[in-house]
Order: sequence, then structure tokens, then C-alpha cells
Amino acid sequence: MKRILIVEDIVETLRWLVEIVQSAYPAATICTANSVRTALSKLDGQIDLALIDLGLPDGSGLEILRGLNKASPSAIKVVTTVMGDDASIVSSLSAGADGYLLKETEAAVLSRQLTQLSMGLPAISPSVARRIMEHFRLTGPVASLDGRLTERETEVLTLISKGLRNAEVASALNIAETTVAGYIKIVYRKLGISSRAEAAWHANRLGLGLKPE
Amino acid sequence: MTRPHVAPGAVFALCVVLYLAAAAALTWVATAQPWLGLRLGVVGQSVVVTDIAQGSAMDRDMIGKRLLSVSADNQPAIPVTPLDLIEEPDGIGDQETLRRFFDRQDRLHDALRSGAVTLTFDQADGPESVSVRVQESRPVSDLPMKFWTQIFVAFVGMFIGTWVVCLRPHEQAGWWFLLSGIGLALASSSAAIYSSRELALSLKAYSVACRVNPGGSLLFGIGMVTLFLSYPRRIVPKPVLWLPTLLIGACILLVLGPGWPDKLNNAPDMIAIIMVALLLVIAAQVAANRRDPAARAMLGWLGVSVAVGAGGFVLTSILPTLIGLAPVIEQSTAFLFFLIIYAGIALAVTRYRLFDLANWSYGILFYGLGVALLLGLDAALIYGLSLGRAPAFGIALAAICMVYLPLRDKVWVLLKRNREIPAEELYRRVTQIAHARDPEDKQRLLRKFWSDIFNPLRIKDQPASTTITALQDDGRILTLASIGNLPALSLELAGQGSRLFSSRDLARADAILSLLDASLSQHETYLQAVSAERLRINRDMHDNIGVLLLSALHTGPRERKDLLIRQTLADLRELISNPDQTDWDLRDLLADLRAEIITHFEAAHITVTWQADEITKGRISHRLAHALRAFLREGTSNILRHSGATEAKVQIDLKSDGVQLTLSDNGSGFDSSVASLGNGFRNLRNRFTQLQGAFSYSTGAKGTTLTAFLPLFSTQKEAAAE
Repeated sequence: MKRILIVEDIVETLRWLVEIVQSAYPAATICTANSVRTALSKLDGQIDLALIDLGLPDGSGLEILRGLNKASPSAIKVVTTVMGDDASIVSSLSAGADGYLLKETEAAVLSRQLTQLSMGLPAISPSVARRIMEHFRLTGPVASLDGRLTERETEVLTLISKGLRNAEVASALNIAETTVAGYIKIVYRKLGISSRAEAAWHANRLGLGLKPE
Repeated sequence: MTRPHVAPGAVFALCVVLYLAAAAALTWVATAQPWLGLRLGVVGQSVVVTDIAQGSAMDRDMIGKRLLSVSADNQPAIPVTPLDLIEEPDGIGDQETLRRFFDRQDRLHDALRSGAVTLTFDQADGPESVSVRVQESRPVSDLPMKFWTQIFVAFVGMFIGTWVVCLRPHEQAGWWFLLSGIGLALASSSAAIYSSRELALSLKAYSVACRVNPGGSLLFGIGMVTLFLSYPRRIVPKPVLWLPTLLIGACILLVLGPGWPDKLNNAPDMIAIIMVALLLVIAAQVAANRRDPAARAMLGWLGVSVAVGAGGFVLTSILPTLIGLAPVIEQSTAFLFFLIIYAGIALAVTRYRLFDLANWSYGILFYGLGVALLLGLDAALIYGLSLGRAPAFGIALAAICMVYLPLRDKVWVLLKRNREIPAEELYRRVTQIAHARDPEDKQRLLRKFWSDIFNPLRIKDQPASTTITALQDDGRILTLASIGNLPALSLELAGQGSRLFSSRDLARADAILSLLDASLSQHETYLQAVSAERLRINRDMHDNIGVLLLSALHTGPRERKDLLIRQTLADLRELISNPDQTDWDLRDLLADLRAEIITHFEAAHITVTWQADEITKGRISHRLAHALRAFLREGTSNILRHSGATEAKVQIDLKSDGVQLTLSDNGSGFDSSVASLGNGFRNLRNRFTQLQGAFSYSTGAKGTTLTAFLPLFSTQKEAAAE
């Protein structure tokens, strides 16, 4: 990790996050922003990890997420939220977030989760897993197989939704923990695809057609 | 004239059509006269050709020549004098002169009718005779302006008078007002015929027009004087109201009777006397109404306009003749004074509800004007075609298609203003009304809505007790029942008064009302749901968030403070994540807690065993869910901080009537006298006891065990606990 962006509008929380990140990556350069506007102006250089608050004074962190998708596609994008309800977490995952952290979590736990996330080992809470499954159940007809969950992915999500941790899921399914993490990442990606498919489906129903991206 | 089952607007429109037809007939009479094509005027004591009419075959050399006489073939010449051009014959004071005037006019007319005449002009070198042909009829375009102004005055008089009577058929004052309008129309239109003549009319024409004219003027007097005797307040005993009719009626008989035209020259005196009487009556009204400001204000408008209008006419046109002077202005122009009366009435209606008419009554007036405009357009078209002014039939047809028909259509649509509201618009409007928050807004939208649907002349509030939607008064009124908190309304006369409500309208109103009703009750249900939800959130806020924050505030040790605040945030998140859930799925709740608790133990490197009975279904209330969470979180937090344990075990056993929770560790136990620990457990015990459950703990050197029981499936018990 060379360059890390932290977007947070509450000063105390920002300081707290910076401390955690610093102790996890002492060598990294940390830049901070407290609004959507300032964050967007700092997307020029390569960013390796970004912690983005969702509720910002001048808009939603989703905007920064989308900007980062274009500016630094390889960056690991983590959404940090305090009140983060399941719905907004799912929408940030479908907008390209690699994971999410709850800011109320204890420093030690948060630090651990952050390290795992940046190693490419995302985790989902049971309630978010349930909501993701609900989302796929309700999504309009998806043209490509890419936009649907496979049986294995559904299995993983079901176990997570029952409260099992990634390691427990791995042993229950007789696979490696990194494989579980891989499934979760695929589900995140499909969430993005299915969201676009859903948007297209709604647009077609309304006779709007889909704008080419 | 208005029977209850005919809409006043329809009657009014019919009358307007009749008046227009009458105007057309008068125009025909004025044009069906022999025509020389000369413009004659009086210079000094002689008649001079001032101009040649457009479209006339006359030699322009004649201009400026003095006309001495006119003679038909082989007939004696008839001298032409300035008297022959007099505008108003009843201004000729002397009976003998008047009879001679009529006689000469008749002879002149006969000569002109013969088709060819010899005109004799006075030239310096003696009389010069010119033989000319006389056209059989006069072109419409040659009729002078004064003809049109007098026809216009006649039309306005009838128009406004009919308007008032159509809307207030039961008010006597309106009928007197109409009578004066009829009188004015008769006087003005008959004067239009003879005052616009080129040179002469037949005696027959005079005997009609010169009877109608003074008769009309006197009729106007009857109407006006009686009106002001009875309006705004009756100032004489009822029988006396008929006095003007008797007296002036007698005058009419005298003037028009067998001795005509001998008494014709008395008409101006009579009119002058009536005007004085009228002014006196108006003054009496002012005196009688001095304590009634509204009536006084009304009189101000009406009285002054009548005094100025009729008085102005008398002063400028009749009085000078009476005292032997030339009229100040032509009588035909003086008729315009009468328009002042009608302008005054229009203003009095807007400002003081004259004749009890409010602003809405203008709808019908404009409707009548629209009808007149439409007919005018048609007439213009027919006239234009008949004259062959259109260069070719093809072009005329094209003009009709491209200009005339669209224009006519526009006028007609404007007139009807009875647009069909499409279904989606209807739905949108209904929803808008149902969702309007401000009662005044709601009212306004509702009225606008009905007004757009039926375009009624007037919308009135009805008592809230009106519960039936029905047609009343043979369709004059459509009463709309009150629904929900919307007031009952009555709509009067559809299409700006032009039509009555039909049973089809009634069915439509019924359908729309039930749509409104459904929309209102839906919205009501929605509002109730919103307020129930708000109540629930408030209760959650108070019971959980508030309690947690309060305990955090009053807790000393920082670690425990943090724990309490984290719990608050977690609870808050759940509240936001599941805003529409009034209870929890027990399986989901335990899954969430499992993940949360194990994450904490993992972070502290404590091995944990989670042993739970398979839960298939079951829902628990918020209060129970919070108790369950509090138990596991509090217990976990204690193990992590105080026990020094390396292993922990969570056991959840499902019983027939509830759930048994056990949380144990292999730590070194704790001292329950430590204040913060004691408080936490005391709070838990209170919570579980309140919910008819149980909480207990045992601690020792080999570890600590917390146990709790929650009665899950007995909603009655739970309800009792609330």
C-alpha cells in the first residue's frame, strides 16, 4: 500500500481512522478529504486503498466510488459507514466497493477486518448476505448468466446468512477460506452486473432504452 | 320566458340569435331603398352634392353642385330643400310643415323608385338638368356609420336587458329594465332607418318608423321610471308602480293614435318631461336609501349612469330642438349616450351585485357575446361570397378551409370550454385533491376540478349534511354529496350557463366522487400507517436508544461507556435497516448475533463454541429481541474483559414456551461487587423480569455461567408485560 485515501467528514472519526490505517500500513502515504468535492479532486494519482464514508455533507460517497472506478480501477475500495443500513451497503457493493466496515467496531476488530479486506478477503454480515440473496431473487430477467448466482455462490451466501464466519463456511463446504473470499468477490461483481441489468430492465419497461456507457 | 327546464344560457343564446336576425332584417330594409349614389349635405340654405358614393356610376363633376329638384320621367319636378335632409322628423315643430315633409318625401321616393330621374342643379348660367339611373338597392357598404351605431345601441340594450332577466327571471326590476332596453332598441333601430336615408323614404316607411321611434322612447321612460320607483327599494305604494305605465301609455296612444303625425312634435316635450321625472325619482331613491350604504353605492353607479346617459341624450339632442336650435350633436351619435347606462350597469353588477348578480353572471354574458361573434363570422362569410368578392370559387373554398373553418372552430371551442378530461389527468387531479394537506388548498383544488369538468356558472358550498348526489330544479343544479372531509357542493348550470345537467352528468359525477372517495380513504389508511410507524419508531427510540444512551452517560469506566455507545449504534442501525419490521425473525436475529459475537471472540483469540437448536421459524417482538441481544453482548463483553478465559460457549435451547440462553467461560470468575459489573447484571435481570423471563449467574474460580430464559411464544404474556 503506497497511497491511501480516507474520506470522512467527522474530524474525530477521521483522526481515529488515520491512526488505525497508520498502524496497519506505517509506510503508506495517507491523504484525507472531508467532502465529495475535495475527494474527487484527489483522485488524480494512483490510489491503492480508499476508505470512503457514505454520508458526506455535499453528497454521497457513491460518487467518489464511481470516480475511483475510473481513475484507479485497481484500488481497493472500502466503504465505511456508521448508520450504514443494509440497503446502502448493497448499493455501494453494486457500485464497485470491495467491502465495507462499520465505524462503530472496536479498533482491534476494525484493524483486523481492514487487513483482511486489503488482502482480498472480504466478509459479509448475515443481514447483508440475506439482502443480497433477496436482491438476486427480485432482479428482473437477467440476459446473461453472468448476472445470476451459481448454486455454489448461493450456498456460500446461505451459510453466511445463518451467521457462519468465512472459515466456518470453508470447513462446512470443504473448501479453502480464500475460495470463500473468492466467491464473495464474484458475488459483489455480479451485484454490479445485475444492478445494471435491473436498471436496463426498468428502463426498457418505461420505454427509455439504455444509454450506452 | 324562462321555464325551469330550460337553461338560461340557452334562452339567452336564442335571444341573441333573434336580435342578430332582427339587426340583419333592419339592414335589409335600409338597403332595399332606391339609390342614387350621391352624398348630399346642407350648405347655407341649399342642398349640395358633397361627394359621390363609392361604387356609384355618377359623374364626379356633380360634386359641389346645388341640387334644386328631382323629377321622374314626364312628371313635375319635386323641389329639394334642406328640410328633406333633416335627421329626426319629430324635431319639425309645426304640424303643417311635418305633413308637407312626409308628402314630399313620399313623392321623392316614388320618383326614385321609377328607376330613372332628372336631377336639376343650380348653375351660374341657369339650371342644368342631368338624367340619371337610380339603383334599385343600396349596397351595405354605403350605409353610414350612424346606421351601425344606432343598431349597435339597440343591440346592447336588448342584450344587457335579456341577460339580467335570464338570470333573475323572478325579479320584477329586471323585467322593467328589459322593458327600457326594448324601448331603447325600438327607438334607436327605427331612427337608424330614417336617419341614414340617402334622400327620401316612403310615407309607409315613415308611418312605421316615426311611430316606433317615439313609442320606443316613451317605453324606455316607462321602464326606467318604474324601475327606479321600485329599485333598489320600493318608494311608492304598489298600485302607484303602474302609474308611469298608465300616464306614459296614454302619451303613447296620443302620439301614435289616429291623429298621427299631428302629435308627433309633442314627443320631444314628453320625453323631456319624463327625463325630469326620472331624475326626480332617482333623487327620491337616493333620499330613501341614504342609510343603506350598499343601495346608495349601487344607486351611485346606476343612477348617475342613467342620468348622464339619458340626460345627455335629452340635453344634446332634444332640448336644443325644443328651444328652436340645431341639435348640438346628431341624434344618431347622441344615442351613444345610452351605452353609458349599460356600462354603468355592468360596473354596478361587478361592484355591488346589482340585481343580485355576481361576477359569475358574466360567464353567460360572454357566452352570448361568443354566439354573436360566431354568427357574425358566418354572416361575414355569406356576405363576402354573395358579393362575389372572392376572385374564384376555388380560392374561396381554399380560404374557407384554411382560414375560416379553423377560426370558427377556435371560437366554438372557446365558447364551449367543455373539454373532456383524459383519464390519467382525472386520476392525477383526484389524487392531488386527496393528498392536499392544507384544507384551503384542498377546497381550491376541488372547486377548480369540478369547474374544469362541468364548467358550471357557479359553484356553491352546501351544508355538510348533504349526502346525496342528485339533480335538482330540473337539472339547473347538480348537488355533490360531501365525502370524507370534503364539503358538499352544488354546481349551477353547466357550460357557463349554456346547458342543464343531464343524467349522464349525474352518472359521471357519481363515478368521479367514488374515485375521490376511494383515493381519500387510501390516503387516510396511508396516513394512519405512517403515524403508527412513527409511533413505533418513537417508542423504540425511547425504550432502547434513550435508555442505552442514558446508561452510557451515567457510566464511569470508559470501556463500559464505549460498549454502551456501540450497542446504541448497533440498535440504531437495526432500526434503520428494518424500518418496516414490527418484529424480528428469530432465526435471522440469532444469525446476526452469532456472526457478531464470534467476530469479537476471534479478535480476542478466544475459542468459542456456538451450540444452537435448529430454529425453523418464529418471530419475536422488538423488546424481546433487545433483551436477547443485551444478554449476549453484555455477557461477551464481560468474558472478553474480566474473565481471562480461553474458551467460551454459547448455548441456545428452544423450549416449548421460550428460549433458554446459556453463556459460559473457563475463566477465573469475577467479583460481583465491582460496581460496573453489578450494574450491568442488575439491568439485565430487570429487563428479563419485566418480560416475564428469568436471569441468573454463577461465578467461581473455574469459570462463569450466565443463564436466562425468555418466554417467546406466549404473546399474551408479552402483551401483559408491555
